[in-house]
Amino acid sequence: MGCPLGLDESGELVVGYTARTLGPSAQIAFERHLKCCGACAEAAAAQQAVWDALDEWDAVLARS
Amino acid sequence: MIPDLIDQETGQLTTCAAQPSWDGGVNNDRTTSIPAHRDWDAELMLRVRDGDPGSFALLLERHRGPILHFLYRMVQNEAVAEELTQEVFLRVYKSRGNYEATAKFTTWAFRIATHLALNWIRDGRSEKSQTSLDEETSNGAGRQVPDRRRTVEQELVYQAKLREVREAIKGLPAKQRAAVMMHKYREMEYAQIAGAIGCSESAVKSLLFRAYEALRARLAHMA
Repeated sequence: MGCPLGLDESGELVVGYTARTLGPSAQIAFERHLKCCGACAEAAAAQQAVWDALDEWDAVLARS
Repeated sequence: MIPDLIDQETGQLTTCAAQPSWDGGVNNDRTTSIPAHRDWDAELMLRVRDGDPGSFALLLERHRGPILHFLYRMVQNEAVAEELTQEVFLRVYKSRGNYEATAKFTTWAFRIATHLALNWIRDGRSEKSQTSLDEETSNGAGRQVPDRRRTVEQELVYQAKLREVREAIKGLPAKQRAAVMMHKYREMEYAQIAGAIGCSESAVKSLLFRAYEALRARLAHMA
């Protein structure tokens, strides 16, 4: 079942949630949403993996 | 007057920036306190326009690192990143006479940097001079210094992971790559990224959405 938020909004929220750029209330609301939306939870986990991989890559560049 | 930090013979920036002089500017009436709401960098640039070389040295000192790192991530080649960074600041300096503080200085500087990086990538020069620390050299040896805390097997897995990340980033269309580099590593807001790339905020959101979607598809298994 798809996310009721719609692709654009959920995509923006997933990115903002991982980047921690959402405001406190939006962050909490989206955390609640993640508990009941499998599609967003999966996207958020994948986005976190991307975030961590980019951090790791950057750490290598910073050491160079 | 050309500031001391630009070699008059070669036209290159010298590596040692002159000491900034808040009191030595041409317009001494503007060297007192700068209100908190003003863009400091724009203020410095206005002083450069008015002939204060110390302010250019300060701009160089403040922004050379972030610009260099952005360009390094974009072109994935240290020598090219250095060269393009040099070009960014030369263009900033050459444009000083026409400078108007209509946008944030950082947005303007990143716009020049993005333009140079996109041109470099578009011209296909990245294919000809690709060497980076996380990449294998021609004889197959990894250039990244191994971490002695990892076993050989762990090191191989780690190097493969870095290579995969690098390839995923390199696989993004250039504008998407620029948007991700500014969003992820400079924590720039959509409006600033839009100013640097030269598109609308909604276009930036779309670029980031598609870029992260592509990166998730390629890198999600690393979770």
